[in-house]
Amino acid sequence: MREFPALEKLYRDDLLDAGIDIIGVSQFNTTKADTTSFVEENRLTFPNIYDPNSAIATAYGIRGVPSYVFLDKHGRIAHRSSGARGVQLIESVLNELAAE
Amino acid sequence: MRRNDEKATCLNYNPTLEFAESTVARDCDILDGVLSSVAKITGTLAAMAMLVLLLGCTALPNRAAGAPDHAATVDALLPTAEPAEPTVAPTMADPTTAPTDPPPPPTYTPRPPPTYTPRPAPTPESDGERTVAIPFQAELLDGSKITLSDTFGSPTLLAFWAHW
Repeated sequence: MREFPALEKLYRDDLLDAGIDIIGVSQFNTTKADTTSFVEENRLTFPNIYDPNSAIATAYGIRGVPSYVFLDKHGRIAHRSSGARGVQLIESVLNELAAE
Repeated sequence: MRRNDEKATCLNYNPTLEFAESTVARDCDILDGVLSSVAKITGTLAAMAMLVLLLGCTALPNRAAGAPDHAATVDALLPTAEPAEPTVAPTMADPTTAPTDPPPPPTYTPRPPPTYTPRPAPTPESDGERTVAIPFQAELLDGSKITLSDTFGSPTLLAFWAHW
């Protein structure tokens, strides 16, 4: 999850003030202790969901990490992305959705 | 008469001999008639041959005399190819330049440096038409509850991750 420090920085510096939310969802048999430890180590300030049974990931068809699902203002899936492609892509897509 | 005289003067007169001489004379007369007939036939044949030769010579095609030219007739009946347009061979040299002029020195034009076009950033996977997200209700690490409806009103990124 090398992107998460950069993602945290993006959230703290730009997205939070723009009213754009990030919700982290931990996956793949991650215990709550592991999740908490990871959040503290990377100093993540955006909210994170503890999903022990990967119910949300299964519902959204997630097959690997990292994976991203972009929701627009109306709660619709606007884009999907899988794999580490850089926070610039994430930022551009979120800005497009915010401009709608 | 002469024979009679010879008969008269010849003491050794032999009538058998006289018969033989007369036979010979008669045979000679017959031979003369046969020979004359052969000569006549030969002359007739020669005349006919000459006539045939003359007729054959006159029947040969004579173009100069306007005789029908069968070869020309056949050529006219055969399909003929369309005349090809005259092609002009490409000339590499300038026609205004005298052939004795030396060729101009080659000019060096530096190749322009390759232009670098950065690859466009990969676009996220798009479904084309947006679908409503699946509702969920989960617990945050701080113990509070969150639902999909809490994300309405602002773009939201769901970031799925693992600690390893």
